[in-house]
Amino acid sequence: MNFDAPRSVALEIPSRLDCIEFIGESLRVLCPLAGFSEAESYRIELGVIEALNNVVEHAYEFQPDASVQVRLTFQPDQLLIEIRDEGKPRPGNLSNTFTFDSEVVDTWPEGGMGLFIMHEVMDRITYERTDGVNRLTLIKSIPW
Amino acid sequence: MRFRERKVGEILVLEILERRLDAKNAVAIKSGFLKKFDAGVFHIAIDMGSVTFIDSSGLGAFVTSMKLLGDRGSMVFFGVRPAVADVFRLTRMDRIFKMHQSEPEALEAFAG
Repeated sequence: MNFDAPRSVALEIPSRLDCIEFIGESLRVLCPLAGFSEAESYRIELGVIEALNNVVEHAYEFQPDASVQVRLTFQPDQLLIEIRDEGKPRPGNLSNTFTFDSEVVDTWPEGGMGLFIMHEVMDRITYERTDGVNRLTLIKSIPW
Repeated sequence: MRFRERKVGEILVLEILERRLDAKNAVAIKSGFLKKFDAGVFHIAIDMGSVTFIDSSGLGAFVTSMKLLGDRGSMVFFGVRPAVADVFRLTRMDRIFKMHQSEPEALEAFAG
C-alpha cells in the first residue's frame, strides 16, 4: 500500500490495562501495511504499549473510567502516534537512565524500563501538557 | 496466568498458554511462580512457544520471580520466539535469563 498522502486512525479505550491490547493488536495490523517489517511493527507496538501502561498506571493511577485517546497518522515518511489523556502530568523529563549489574541480583530492574524501551524503539518522543491534557507523541520513520 | 505443566524428574516444565505477557497479567505471573516456590518447586523450564508479545511488565514479573527464587534453584526459558527474544536483548535481560532453543537443551542445562 502506497501511503503517498497522510491517513490516520483514531482509537479510544477506557484507562484499563485489559483494554491496552486493543491498541497493540491494531498497530500489528496497520504497521505492516505502511511498510514496516514484522520485527519493526512489533517494536512499535511495544513502545506504544509501554506508553499506554504509564498512562493507566501513573497518569490515571488505575482510575478505570477515564479515557485514553490514540491517533495514528501514517505520513509518507513517518508514523506519528499521539497519545492523549487527562490524568496527572508526567513527572520530570523524558530522559531515562537504566543500568543494572547482571552479577548483582539486587540491581536487577523489576520495573521502570518503559521509558527506556520507548526511546530505544522510536526515533523521536515529545511530551506536552496543555489545559490539563497530556499529549505524548511518538515518531517512527517509515523505512524507504 | 494459564499454563500446562508436567514433571521431568525434579524439573517442572511449565508451558505458558498466554499469548501476551503484559501489565494486565504481570501480577498473575508473579503469583503463579510464587505458588510453585511455596510448593517446593525450584527448578523450572519455561516453554515460551505460545507467547507472541511481552512488555516491560511481563519481563519485570519474571525478574521478581527470579529474585524470589534466589539461589534455591533456577528458571530457564526455551522456545522463545524471535520478536520476544528481541525484547530480552533490548532491555539486556538476556544477561539475566538463560534461553535455550528446545526443551531437551533446557533440561540439559539443569543437568550441567
